[in-house]
Amino acid sequence: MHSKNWIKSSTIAVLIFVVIGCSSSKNTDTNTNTVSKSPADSAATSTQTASQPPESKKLTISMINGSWASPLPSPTGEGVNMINEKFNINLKPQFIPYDELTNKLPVIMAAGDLPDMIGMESVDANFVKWAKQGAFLPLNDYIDKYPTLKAVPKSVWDAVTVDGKIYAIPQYFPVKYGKKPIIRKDWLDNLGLPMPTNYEELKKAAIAFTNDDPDKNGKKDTYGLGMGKLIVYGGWMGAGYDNVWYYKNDKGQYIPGNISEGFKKQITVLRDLYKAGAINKDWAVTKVGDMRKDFFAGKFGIWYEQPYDISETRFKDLKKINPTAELAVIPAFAQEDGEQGYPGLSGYYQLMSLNANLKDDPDKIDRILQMEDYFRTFIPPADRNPQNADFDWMNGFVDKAYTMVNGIAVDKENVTDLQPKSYIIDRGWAPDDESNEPAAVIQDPFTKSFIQGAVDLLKTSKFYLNPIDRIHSEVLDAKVSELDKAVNDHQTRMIVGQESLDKWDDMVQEYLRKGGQDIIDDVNRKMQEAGVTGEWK
Amino acid sequence: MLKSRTFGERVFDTVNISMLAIIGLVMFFPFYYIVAVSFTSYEEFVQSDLILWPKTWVLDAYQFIFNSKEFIRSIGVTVYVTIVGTLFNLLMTSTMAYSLTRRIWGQRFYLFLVLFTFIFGAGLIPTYLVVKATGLIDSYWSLIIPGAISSFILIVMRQFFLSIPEELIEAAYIDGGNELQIFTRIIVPLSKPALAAFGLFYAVGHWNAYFSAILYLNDPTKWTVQVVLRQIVILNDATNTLASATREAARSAHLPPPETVGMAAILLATVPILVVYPFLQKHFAKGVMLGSVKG
Amino acid sequence: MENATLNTEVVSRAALTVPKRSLGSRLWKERYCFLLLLPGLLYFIVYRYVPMLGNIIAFEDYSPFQGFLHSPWVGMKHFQRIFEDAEVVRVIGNTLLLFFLQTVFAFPVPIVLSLMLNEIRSERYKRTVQSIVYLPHFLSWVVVIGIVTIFLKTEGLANKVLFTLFGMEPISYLQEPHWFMPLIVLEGIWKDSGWGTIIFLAALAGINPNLYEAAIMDGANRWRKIWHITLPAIRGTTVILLILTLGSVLDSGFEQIFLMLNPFTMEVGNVLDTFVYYKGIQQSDFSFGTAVGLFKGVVGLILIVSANWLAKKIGEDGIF
Repeated sequence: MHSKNWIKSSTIAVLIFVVIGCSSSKNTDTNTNTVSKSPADSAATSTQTASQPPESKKLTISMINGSWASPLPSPTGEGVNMINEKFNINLKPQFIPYDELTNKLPVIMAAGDLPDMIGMESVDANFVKWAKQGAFLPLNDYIDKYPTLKAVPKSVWDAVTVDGKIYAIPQYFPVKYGKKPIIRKDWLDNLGLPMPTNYEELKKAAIAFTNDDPDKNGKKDTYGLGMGKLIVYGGWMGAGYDNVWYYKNDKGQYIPGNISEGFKKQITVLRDLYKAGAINKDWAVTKVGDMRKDFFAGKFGIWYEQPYDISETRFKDLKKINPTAELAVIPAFAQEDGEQGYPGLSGYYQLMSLNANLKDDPDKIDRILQMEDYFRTFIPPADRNPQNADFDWMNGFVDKAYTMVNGIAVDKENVTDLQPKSYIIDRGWAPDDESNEPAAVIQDPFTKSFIQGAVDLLKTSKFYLNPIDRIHSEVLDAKVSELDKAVNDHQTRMIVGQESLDKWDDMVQEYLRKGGQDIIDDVNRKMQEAGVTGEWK
Repeated sequence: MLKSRTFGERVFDTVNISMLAIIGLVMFFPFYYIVAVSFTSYEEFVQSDLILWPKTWVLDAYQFIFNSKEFIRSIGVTVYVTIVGTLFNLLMTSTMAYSLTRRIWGQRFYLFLVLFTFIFGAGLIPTYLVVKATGLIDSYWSLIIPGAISSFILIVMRQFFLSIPEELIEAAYIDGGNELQIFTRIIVPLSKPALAAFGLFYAVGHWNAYFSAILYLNDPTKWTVQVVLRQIVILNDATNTLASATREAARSAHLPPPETVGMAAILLATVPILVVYPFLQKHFAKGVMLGSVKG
Repeated sequence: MENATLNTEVVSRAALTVPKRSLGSRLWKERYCFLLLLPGLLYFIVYRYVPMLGNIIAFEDYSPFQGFLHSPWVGMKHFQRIFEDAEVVRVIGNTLLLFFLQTVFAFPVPIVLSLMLNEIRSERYKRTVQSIVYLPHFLSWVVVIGIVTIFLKTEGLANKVLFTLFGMEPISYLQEPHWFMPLIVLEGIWKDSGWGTIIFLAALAGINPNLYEAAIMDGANRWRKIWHITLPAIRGTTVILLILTLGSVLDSGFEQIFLMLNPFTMEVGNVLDTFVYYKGIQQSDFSFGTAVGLFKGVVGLILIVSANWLAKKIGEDGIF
């Protein structure tokens, strides 16, 4: 033990020595001793301005966040000035493409440069690890003071809670409006088929789409169901057939969906469809993006779309190519256990954590949470217009950064830097999913009617809250991707008939043996500790 | 010369020329395909499997890209970093490579030191810490200095220097020249093809710099063209891994622009570095050593 | 003639290794050389060797928040993780097979291509071909494999053409295990052999044209000129490149293989890089990633040092 520490210490000593030695010539940067600093020390430098009385003195607040936007907002844009003025702060934002944020966050953390506000896309293994190590500020004592934080349901708080402490502010995302199976309603009508209500009818429709010329163009150029590699998306016609922790084993433990009997049924159907030629031959090597393209080119009849936050372009293209096209969501199939409904989403997307070093700086915490609360305040679609001062401000003022088209606010081009909402996520915490009125913000009539139809259908549907979203298991984080991949490989071979479905139980056993049972044990223990069960809503 | 060509020689030439033509065509095709797609309308692209010749040529994709200030600015940044960076690379690499051709004290040790870094790399975090400690964060030098010498290129360049006839160097010694003068007056002029070739290697490396820009430069307005390009073409492939359903749904809001734009962006981001090669080719002409050797 | 040059070279190099003098006077004599060496040496120490100390995390459960000093020490745990899976044997087998195929089939292609280009008399034709063959290098693997997929899928162009011409049944090239390795090697040749010619063309440009003239006088034909003048001129470079290749014996080009792998080809195509990716590197597991890097490095180092020794034994320059 001693010798190991000796190696470590001397390694670090050499590292520091050389680094300082070489940097002495560079006197522009005063931060030469970064390496020796613990993250705790150096984060303090960024919070120096904090001891000022609230509101009277500008607070400097640094922030890092990921984004999928292109271009990314500039750290000195007009939107930052507007935020600075409104909240009397000096915001130092930094944006990284989300797929690289996971690479950059550890690096700045190691360098002791963790900003005051740390954004992430979702709760991942690193979030849990760092929270446990004390990188983030526990927020339990603050949430009751801010209305939009109070509005967050327990199921969502669970997702950002580690060992009983809340370590992040989750941003709103509807539970109901995830990807749902959709079908070409006009094709069903052309062939005189009813909307499928079980897998037998689904199979019949998909095979008819392949053989009976559903688009009546006289050519056999369509097929039933489109699927991309990794079995995305399959035939997930309800929570019991999906990859969610729904069923229990004979010990009463929840088990993952992909090794359940319900999932097997779904894979069986896909195998039958593939055999009948109702699924694209090359699906196992085709990218999902290419499949989506083909669906909106009218090449097959069953696909997945969501009624929220989508681009109209593809829908318009489909209508251009197939003027008679109609789309509808397939209602969830009734399951053997009598339940019927789709799995709900986790209820949040993106989160914002605060640096643990802020704990002695209540003013700054308050200022940050005030700002978050302001941006998280829900503005009903009917009020999203220049008459609403908050909306107008967040969007960078009417005619400057956006214009009203048919009563809907539309951003002008190249306005990212002009809008405060580019810097702080502005999805208001809606009182319920329906309040978002996703159809109200859409211009194109075809898209609008599809979304409205889906929203109406989902309004009365039941949703299953996946319990795995609400707990954190390090065993799961460490092993699940490798195990899931092995299962996915087996199932892919089963669908194309290279592997018999009789091997299903062998596959499950392999999964359990290679660490799956450890995952199940740990996950169920965590669920019990947190009092979490899978519930229908 | 020409009259001495025998029948065999002519067969040789014909076969050689035609084979190279075929190889050229095979290598050229994907570029042609990218050009064709970038000029195709999205509707046509969606409906056909393989575009060989667009029915109508449209400029939509290019308009989309040139609408973005980002793209043009990032090209400027990248050109700057590439030129300065490549010159710096060549200076650092050639001086060290030449000094290692001489039998100086500890020569084998230095060579092994270099070779060792070819095999063992350093992690992301320690490298970042050093870059930060040397004050390069947020400076364009962070894209240049940390990669100043490629161990691979150093080793190969040294090999090139070794093939320069020793008698030339000896002659310069006798004339009273020191190693610095020998390097600038004999080695550099005689190594033009090598310097051009390795300069190209370095330049392409700078041109393709992507992750280091994101890592070391906090201000997105300083980012290089590959970062901007990637944001444009980022393939809607969240499902390359089994992403969570929420993520999947949320990402749909940020659909990438159509693939036709992606192809146009690839083309626009590649052409500037492609045109460098033909300019360098004259340095590949045979006979650089002529004159000096005989002299 | 060429042998004569070589001999004088050897002689004069040997003459430089002068009898022992005091170290001080030797260093003073070599001061200009050290002046040239110094910037590079400093660079290597600061930017290569100092960060390399961070590789210590291969023996820790490193967390960036806890830092190099305070992360828990776990010894060889991460190295054991590489080998705990029985599958690793097959994976390393795949990796070595692929390396072998690439070295045998892909490595010589740029050389042959450069020789072919070197024999072209028309400068314009030569330059045009040169500028074209290096184009594919600039396309990312995502784009290349996207195009390959369009061509080779079951309903793709290749199958359509083969069916029309020869009535061949469609083959799912991308899903057939025995097509996997050949496709990987071919894609590599297609993408990078044009690029690889640059080094060799630069080497060929250094050949003294007088050698060719003298050979013509002696009545040598094309093959003899290639064999006796051109090939020897690039021999040194070729040997060095070949030795360096050995250093990356366990690297297989992650992106290409990752994109080409699917459940049907996993058995034959899973190489070390993809294997460890699936095992946890994608979860930014720095310690595991570093351990894998060290393992690959040790193997590479052993091979390079042996090859270097062998090269010197048979009279080549070697690297050090």
